[in-house]
Formats: sequence, structure tokens, C-alpha cells
Amino acid sequence: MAVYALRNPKVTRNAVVSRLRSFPAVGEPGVSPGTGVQWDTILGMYASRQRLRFVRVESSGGEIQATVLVGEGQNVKRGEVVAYYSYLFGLGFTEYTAPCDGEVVSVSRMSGGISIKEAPVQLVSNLPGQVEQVDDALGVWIRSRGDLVTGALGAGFGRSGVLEVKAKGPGGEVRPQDVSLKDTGKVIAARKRVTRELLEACLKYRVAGVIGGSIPGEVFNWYRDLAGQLDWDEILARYWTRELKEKDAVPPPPMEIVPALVVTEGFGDVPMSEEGFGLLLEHAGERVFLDGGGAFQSRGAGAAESVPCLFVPACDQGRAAGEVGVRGLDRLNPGDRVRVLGLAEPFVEATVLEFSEDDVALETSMTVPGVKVQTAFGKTMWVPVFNVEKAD
Amino acid sequence: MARDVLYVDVGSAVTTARAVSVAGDEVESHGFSFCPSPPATSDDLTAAVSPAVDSVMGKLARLGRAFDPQEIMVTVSAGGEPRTVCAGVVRGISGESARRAALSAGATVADLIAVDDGRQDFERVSDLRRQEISMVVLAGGVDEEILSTGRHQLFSIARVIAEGLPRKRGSKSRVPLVYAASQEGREEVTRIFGEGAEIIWADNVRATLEQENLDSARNAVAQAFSQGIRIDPRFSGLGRLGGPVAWPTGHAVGTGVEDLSRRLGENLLAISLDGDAVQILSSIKGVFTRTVTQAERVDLKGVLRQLPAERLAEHAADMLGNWKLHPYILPRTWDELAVFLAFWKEAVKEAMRDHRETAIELRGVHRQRQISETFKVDVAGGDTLVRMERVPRIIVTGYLSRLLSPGSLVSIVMDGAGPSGITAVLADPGETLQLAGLLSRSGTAARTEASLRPLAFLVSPGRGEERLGARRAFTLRGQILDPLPLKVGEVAMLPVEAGALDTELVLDARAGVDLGEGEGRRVRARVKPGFPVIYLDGRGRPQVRPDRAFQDVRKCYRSMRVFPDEVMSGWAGGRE
Repeated sequence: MAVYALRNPKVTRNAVVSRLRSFPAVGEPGVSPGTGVQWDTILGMYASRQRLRFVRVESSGGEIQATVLVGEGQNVKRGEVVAYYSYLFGLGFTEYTAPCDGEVVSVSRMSGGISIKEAPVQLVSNLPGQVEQVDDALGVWIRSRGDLVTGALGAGFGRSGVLEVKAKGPGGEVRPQDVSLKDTGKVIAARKRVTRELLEACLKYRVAGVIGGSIPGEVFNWYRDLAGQLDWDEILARYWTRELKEKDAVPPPPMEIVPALVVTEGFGDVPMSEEGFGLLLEHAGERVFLDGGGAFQSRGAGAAESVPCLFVPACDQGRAAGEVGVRGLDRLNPGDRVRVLGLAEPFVEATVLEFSEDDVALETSMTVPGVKVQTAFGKTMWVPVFNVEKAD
Repeated sequence: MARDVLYVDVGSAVTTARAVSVAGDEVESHGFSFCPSPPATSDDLTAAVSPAVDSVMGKLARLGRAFDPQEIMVTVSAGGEPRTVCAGVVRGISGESARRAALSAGATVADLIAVDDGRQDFERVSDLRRQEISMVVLAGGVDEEILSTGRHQLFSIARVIAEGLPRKRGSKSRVPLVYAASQEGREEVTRIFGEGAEIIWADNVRATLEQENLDSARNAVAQAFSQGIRIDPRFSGLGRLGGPVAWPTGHAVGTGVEDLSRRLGENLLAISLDGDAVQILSSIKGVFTRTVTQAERVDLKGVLRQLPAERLAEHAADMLGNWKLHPYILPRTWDELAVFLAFWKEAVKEAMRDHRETAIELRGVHRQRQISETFKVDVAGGDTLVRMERVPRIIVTGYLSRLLSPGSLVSIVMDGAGPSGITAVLADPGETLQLAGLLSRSGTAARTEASLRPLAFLVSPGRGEERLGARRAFTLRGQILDPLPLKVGEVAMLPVEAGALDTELVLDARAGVDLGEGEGRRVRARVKPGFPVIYLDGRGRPQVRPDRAFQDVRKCYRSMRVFPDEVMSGWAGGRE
């Protein structure tokens, strides 16, 4: 009897990959299909969903109490101080900064609100290749060739940086103290779990991205919400106050405020697969593209082009290559390597031993089509075929 | 003369092939097989069809049963199809009607566009263009005199849709529009959409404000899907079955539920546990409603209240996350089963909340209320039709209905749906409801009830049960009333004795409490054949107390014998 299981390739080598560099809302592509692009090519301009942004300053009795430094019609830069308020005879001091580049359209004395019309922001490619397709509602598709590690989940937007494999601890965990100012703009790889402390350190030192094997559920929920909501003002207040005090510091655009996060296996405390981590070790020190998949909330573009991933473009873009392994269904055979999925652990690596002609009864008294497997630790067990994924 | 039928359901989590023979109104199942469906993002959503069909044919061959299907029937829900965007003028009136029409046709609704949805036109256009959908359903305006002022908001919405209509998958043409709006507006809408647009005309869902007529729009959505799927490259694998007509699974189940409710003459609620979503289908007071709630909406806080042991709560967030990543995986251990049941209870709870808000009396209708009704509105602007005391029968269907034990299924119904009064719970492991829905299209009224598996009778006194106690719940045999052992705060299990068919269950409602027959009135239900057990639910609402949630859940599971005693003792640390 033939038994089929899901196939979900995590690692694809030397394949042609199409990635959507999406606009967070509406945008205007500045490139056309067939154009070659580099890491820093500007693909187009986009505006945020709000269009009009507000800064609320101290006011009372229908008068603004803060000192407003800008007037209507004045252009401001993201992070620029637009007002300040000192209290307790100057002992206390609050600065109000612009959340975006744009033009001040009104200063309301009644509400204490400064309205800024957002200027379009540049969408940087962060990925070399060739433009395949453009759509002002969706973004720009870039076709490139290289090695791909597909994530199970992610947060944040498409970034690029030099890959730094920092998995030094016994379990492959990266501690927050392993991250420093030297890692600004880099992509950090952890073998095992990504912790909240590590993500906070990455935010503080403006790391471009983090890739790890697993993440605790609560930490992921916190970071995903943070990545969606954090604005310039908040990130400045929470993490970058000291570092960006210098006058020549350039605030990053909205989609480059938080580090991109890619988790390859799932929730819990398990390491990245051997294949995935092996590929990262091979490319340590090279510039890579990391996308948390956070920019694209709809399914319109097809998940394969916007799924969280780490991509290493090949130096020689012209060489013939295979296609990206697609998710689908594969026939199982004895001896096949599989990943047994579970709730308590994202997966256990195992080898198929045999199948049953009839349904098998599990410990939980469920009767289902089953597969007998032997785990990497030598344990033999029957598992439901639904829980089996064919390994790469 | 019996005819052999091969029925294939291409689901989002599981693809099933079933061999049945149909003779008159009798449907006999000979065997089935199921195979995991490829993920929604796969290029070929029908990849599991051939393995499932081959497997069931192989099983029948081994049994020596000759099976040569004269007919192949197909239903599809893979990828959440048919996916729609609905649009109306006022969100709570025509918008809701468009949404109900799409849902009752078996669709999922990705967005609802309306004049009062809080967006600007450019945002609506942008959002619409980002959707991957099969069609747009438009409603709005009554049938007459909408053009008296020369313009109507319906046309503003139509212009937004014309601007943002996305392309069909694998094609350069735009997705079709199902027009179920004002008859008077047809000419203008044709002009707005231009020559090339594909518009499917249906009757106005709100020809007058006082009436809602979904049938025409519902059929138009189902037909549009059946035609569109033929050119959808993700479903090209259906060609291997000879290109049969494929209907939305939700549409087939819905028709089955409606037919059964009509035949039994009673209100009915079906809960479909589909792996990545919960469908609730109800036929109450002759009004059919279907809703779909994605499993990913399950909230951790609610899950923690459904766990039987503190140690399971430690990793509940990780487990919930892994379940949302792979909603089709099954529990392998007792610990995993306990967490799995907690997820599904919360998913059903969330789905019931959605359903109560969707199955409502019409908004926009002038209605005279009595003073006593002033504070009895459950949903702002429209009263819900779903009052559990009015639902005497709940059917659990979907692929989990044939995998989970009867005790597990009943516990999901008890804690997720919160039944009240006397409720019969049945399972539909053979997908009879959807098969009956499909057969009804060819004029065959299948006797669904014969294929449903009775699970239990639930006696739940409903609100105010703390004061109810044993003195109000009885069995009635002949003229003799025997009190039932209903204890406050507990669940008790009573096996149904053989030959107890002349027994009736009786609940005496306290003054002011309606258990289905009116305030303060006695409710009676005869114990029907085949039901193995009666559960007496004397717990308050909510069923578990926040400060003693683990003990309460354990106590309930112990009474229902869902888990073995040694597992329960392990969770209690040997203290119980």
C-alpha cells in the first residue's frame, strides 16, 4: 500500500528564486521588468498606510505649552526634533521628534497636535538579481539564483547584511552579551533558540536580522507585534536614545527599523536542522538577504514569494540552476528520512521503517493511517501519517 | 437499482475518497480513505486525490467488493476556496447580506467593503487588488426608486470594485462579479464595469429592507466557483477524474443541514472540525446560516482555562504556535491530546461567537419591541437567532469527527458550544451531510439521519443552574418521575440502559428561565435509540472557575472518562 506524506523543503541549493519586495501599502515602482538590480538599487517609492502622521505635544487650556520648532509648510526629516518641553525649572526635558520625512501641514493649538504629511520612502532592493514583474499594489518581484533556507515563521521586513554565525554556546544559543556594536548591519545566525534578551540586544545594536532554529511562543508574539507597531519615536525612546544622539546619525526608513527575524523550525527549544545550519556555516561572512515576511499581509502574491527566508545570491548569476523545491506531497518508502511533527516539540528527525495495511491505534486510542519510524535517538514508534513530513 | 458513487472531498487539511452506493434514499458506505492535503500555497491542491482514490479502490479490491463508480462527485474547500470579497452599501445591512450569501454558498470572505468601513477609496482599491480571490459579491440598494435622486452610494462602491478587481489565478482576465444588488442599478453598473467584465446577475439579496433572499446569490456564487475551478491551474488534477463538476464543500454540507432540519422539523446546529478551521452551520427558525472561523484565531488565555494540569500550561504557548503552523497534525500522547482538546474547545467557542453575530435577525428593519425586551439585545443592532436552548440537536462533522473518541467530541461540544436544555449530540463520521447535499442537487433526498452516529444526550440546565439541582431534572417513565443525580458544579455520566426507549428526560425551568419551551416551562425529550450515554452538566457559566480551572477541567474529564485514570492521577500529582 502506498503512503503519502507532505514535503516541505527547508533548504534549496543553487536554485532560481523569485522574491517579492513588497510595498507596505501603495507604492510606485521605479524599475521595469528585465532591469538588473544590485543590493542597493532603489526599486520604487512607497507611502505608509497613514499618509498623515501626528505628533502630540504638551498643551493645556487651549495653548501649546511646549516650544514648537517648526511651522506649517516646513519640511522635516525622520527623527528631527519638532518641539521640546521643559518642566520643573528645566530639570525635566521632553523632545518630540518627527516620525517620518514629510511636510508639516498643521499645528493645532487646541489639541497640541502637529500633523505631518508623509513623504514617499525609497524601497531598497537588498537583493541582487533581475526584475521579473512590477505591480504598484504589491511591489517588485526580483529573480535571483542562489541558496535558500525557508523559515517556518518570521517577523520584520526584507533586510540584507553580512552573515555572522554566532552559535557558540553548548546548545547553539546566542547570548545577548555576544552581540555588540560591531554587529550593526549584520545578520546573526543562532543554531537554537532565539530569546527575548537576544532580540532586544539586536534592536539596541541595530542588527539587520536574526535567524534561529526556534523561539518561545510568547517571545514571538511580542516581537511580531513590536515589528508591526514600532515607529521611529518609540524605537528611539526604547533602544537608540544614546547611540543616535550624534548630529550626523541617519535614521533608517520605516521597514529597516527592526531587525528581520526568521525562525526555521517552529516554537519551543529545538535546534535548526543540520542542512540549514550547514548552509549558514558555508556562507558565513557573505552578504545575505533575510526577509521576515512581515511586509506582506495578504496572500495575493503567493506565499512562496513572500514566505520568511534567508537567501544567499550566487556570485555567478548566469549559470544554469534548478528550481526551488516546492511544497507538496511525496510517496514514502522504508528508509526515507522524515521529520515527525508534534505539538510539544516542532519536530523529531526519524527514519521510516514500515507502514500498516490497516489503520493503527495510537496511545490516545485514535485510529489513523500510521507510519512506523525510528528516531535519531533509536526510539521506535507508530505515528500518524499526518504528523510526518518528508525531509529534504 | 443501486448505483455506485465515488465521492471525493478535496479539503484544506485532508483529502477524502469514499465509495458509496445509492439506492433510492438509502446511502451505503463501502469504505473510505484519506490522505493529507498539500498546503494551501502548493501549486497543485489536488495532489492527494489520486493517492486517496487509489487507496480506497485498493481496500475494496482486498475485500473482494467489485466497485465500478457510475458517478463521481467532488467537493472542494482546499485553499479556503471559494475565496470572496463581499461589498455592500451599509456594512450592517447590505454588506452583511452579501457576506451571508457568500458564506452560505460555502465561501470564505476575505474582506467586506462598504461605505462605512472606515477606509478611503484608494485604500479599498489597494486592499482589493492585494486579494487572491475567486469572485466579488456585490449587494446594496432595494429594488425600486433608488435612482430618484440620480445617484446612489452603490455606484461609488461599484467604481471601487471596478478599479480594484484582481486578476484570476493563471489568467489575465479579472475575477467575476456576482451582482446581487438593486435591479434598478444594473444598467449603470454594466456601464461602470465596461464591456470586458464578467458579471453574474443574481436576484437582489435585499429587494426590500424587510426581507433577505439569499438563494439566488448563493447559487450564483456556487455556480461561478464550479465554472472557475475548471480553469484554475491548482485544480487541474481533477481532470484525472474525468473533469466532474466540483462544488464548494460548505455549500454541500449546508444543503445537507438545511434538508435534514426541514425533514425533522427542528432547529439544527452542525459543527465541522476541519483541521485548520471550524465551520458552524445552523438552521434555526427556517433561517440557514454558515460561518467559518480560522483556527489561528485561538487565543492562549482561553486555552489555559481548558487545561487539566499546570505543567501543561508551561509550554502551552509553544504548543499553540506549533499547532497553528501545522493545524493538521494529530496528538500522539495523552498530554498532547489534552492540549489538542483545549485548542479545539477554544476554536469552537470563537466560532460560536462569530456565528451568533452573523446569524441575526435583519438589521435595517423597523421593529416594535415590548418594554420587557429593552435590555435583551445580545448583538448591537440585531438579535441573534442562536440561543442554545432552541437547538435540540448538534451534529459534529469534519474529519476530526471520525478520529476523536465520542467522549472527546462531546467534551468539545459541551465546553465549546455551551449547549443549554436537553440536546442530542451526534457525529457524522461518514460525511453523510455533504454527500446528501450533493445528492439533493440531482433530486435524491438521502436519509441522512440513519448514517449519523449518536454520541450522547446532554442535559444542561443553562443559566441559573446553581439553583437548579436534582429537584428540577428527572427521567419520566410511564407516570413515574425519578430525579436525576444532577449536582451543582459537576458533570455526571449516566449510561442509557437497554430498553430505555420509553424514557423521557424532563427539565423543570425555574421562573424566568427559558430552556427552549418558554420562560418557566417544562422541557421534555424522549431518549432516542442508539444513544449510549446521558451527560448531566451542572456546571455554572463559564464552566470552569478561573481560580480552580485545572481541578474543574480534571473533574469534568474524570466524569466523562475521556482519559484513563492513571493519566488523570499523574496530572493531579497523585492527589486525586
